[in-house]
Amino acid sequence: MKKSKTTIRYISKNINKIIIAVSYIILFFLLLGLVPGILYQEKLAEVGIWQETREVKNDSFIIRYHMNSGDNKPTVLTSSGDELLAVDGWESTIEKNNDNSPRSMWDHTFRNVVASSFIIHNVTWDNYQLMQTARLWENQVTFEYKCLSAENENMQLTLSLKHRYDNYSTLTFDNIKINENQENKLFVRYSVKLELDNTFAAKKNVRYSMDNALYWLRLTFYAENIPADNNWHNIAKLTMSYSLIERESQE
Amino acid sequence: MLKDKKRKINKRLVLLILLALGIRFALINLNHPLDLQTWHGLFVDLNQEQSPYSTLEKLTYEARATQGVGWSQYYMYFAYPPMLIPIYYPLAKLYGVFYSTEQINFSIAGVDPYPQVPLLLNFLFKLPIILADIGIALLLYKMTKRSEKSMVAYLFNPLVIFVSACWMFDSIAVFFLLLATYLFERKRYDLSAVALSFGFLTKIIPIFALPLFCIELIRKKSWKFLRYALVFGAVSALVILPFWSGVKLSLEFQSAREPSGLTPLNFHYMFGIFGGLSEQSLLQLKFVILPAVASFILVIGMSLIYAYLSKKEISLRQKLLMVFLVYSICAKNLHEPHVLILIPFLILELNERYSFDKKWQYRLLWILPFIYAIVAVPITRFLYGYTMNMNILYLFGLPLLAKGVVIGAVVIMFHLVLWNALITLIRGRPVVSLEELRRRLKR
Repeated sequence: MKKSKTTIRYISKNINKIIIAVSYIILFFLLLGLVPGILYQEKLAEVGIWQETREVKNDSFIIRYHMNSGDNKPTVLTSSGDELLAVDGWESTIEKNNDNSPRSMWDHTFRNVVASSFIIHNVTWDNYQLMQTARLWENQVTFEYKCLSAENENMQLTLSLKHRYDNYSTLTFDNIKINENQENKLFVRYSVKLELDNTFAAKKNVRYSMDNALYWLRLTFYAENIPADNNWHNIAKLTMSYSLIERESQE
Repeated sequence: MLKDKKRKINKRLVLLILLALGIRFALINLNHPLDLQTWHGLFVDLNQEQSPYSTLEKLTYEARATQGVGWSQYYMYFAYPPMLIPIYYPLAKLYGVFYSTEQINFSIAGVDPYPQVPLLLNFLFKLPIILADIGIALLLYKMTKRSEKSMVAYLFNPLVIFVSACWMFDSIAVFFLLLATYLFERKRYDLSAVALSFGFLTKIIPIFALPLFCIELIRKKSWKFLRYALVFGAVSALVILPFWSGVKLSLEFQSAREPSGLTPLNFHYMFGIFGGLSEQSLLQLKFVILPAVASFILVIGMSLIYAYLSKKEISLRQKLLMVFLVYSICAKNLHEPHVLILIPFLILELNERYSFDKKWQYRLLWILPFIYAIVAVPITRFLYGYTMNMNILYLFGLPLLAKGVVIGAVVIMFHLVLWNALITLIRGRPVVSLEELRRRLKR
């Protein structure tokens, strides 16, 4: 009892010194945590999955990829399996920056577009193969996606779309106009959840097997009344991100 | 005769409260767009028996994919302690009776949402906040020996009305903090610890009162400080543990958040306006260096004030005011609603030790954040429930450079007032005395 009283008296008398001592300890631990904290932030910055932004203009369109694939270096392929650096029949400027970093970026700028069809990219990554085909017609660009899973599994994949709306462009998704009759016409965002069944046979290497891939989804930019001037003008800007891949094990 | 007088006072109090309620309920359809998205998501989540933290997690992963090379690694959704879940669960269920098919709908990270929600959601979300305002006013009335003036000062403070009726739930946390103070002064320590824990579980800031309450008990040479900390810890753990991973994610979000609001650490915006740093360097400054520096500033600032107050003979209320003044000086993210925590303690100080300087310190400490909200949000965006005309919503939206200048000036002035108020409490007189200035001008 007496000891207890003496202790509390001591604490009370030296409380300011105790507070300062505790603060030194906290500061010491903060210092210790500083480097791992920064490394953690760095790691977080690399944990994204995939992003692409495309801007369709009146005489060109730009596709910008941001891909964070963790430790796996991604491969971007044409349908023939070659690494995609140029597209037949198109002028394309490509910046490829994935030499030392798992994070990769590509900028494609296509000019002098004429009606045609071509594969934009065909990506094999993390057991999924994703092929994107673009068809360009007068005033219209269509993107088609096909997806294959390398393993015999069900898959859910969420596709998020952010669409910058312009008065003269309409974005259609699976042939349904999605930005009509919206009160807020500035941005439209849609999440699409896709479920693929397991009708594909397991394949060791899915790179060359897109012929049998299911039709996945189709996005159409349809632009009306495109200004006749020569200035570059944004018709539509769409950001797509693939995320939340949830695998369901086969029971 | 005495009964008649008492009845008259009671009648007047009821009328004042009804008037305060009326003003607040008239404004409930005004909202901060981004925050309303959170409240709407919270109601839909709770109605569907889903933890808002799991939605935060999903949105955060999605944001990381969407933002690509950006460093904003979290989605700005429900990143608060879990007390709002039990508070709003019954209200969300009631909302679900009328709007059972509603789904969560979030804008993509980095994009301003403009959610249109039913009036019922605004009413149900703001009901506990507005009731907390009334609770604070009644506590002030009790703590000031029935000073109607103090009660009115809080109930009709424009910043308080604006924050509670149109914006944030800070008044719930402030109510629990003030209740903890009231109970502590009446030596109801266990209840005080429970109330303080509820405050912390609503919004993190009241936790900075915990060391002070413990120090007060230590100063009385009482071991009750251990019991106080244990009760606080047990109640907090009981509520936090079921949501631990979500709370952890929220804390990560708060710690990695770029400095913003009424803090000089938001000087990084200048690089955004004038350039001078590469994109990568700016991201490192905003999301790594400044948050790290801010944590050191906060620890040093709070330790110094606790150490100083542990030997200072002043009232608990004054000490709490000083603690939250120092917090406001050191905080990395001090948004306009956070200032609400100072207001009841400033009113108590004015009631007990009125001076012309303190009156102006009080005024400036709510006027400057209000000006900040007018310019920074800008305040006209709160009208979006009535119009989507961008010319109206950004009516007060200044050009970037002008906005930077105004915000910079407001932040500097705000911090000068914070320091002046702190020094007034420490020395008994301010560094810059408005009273002295007034006298000289008169002469």
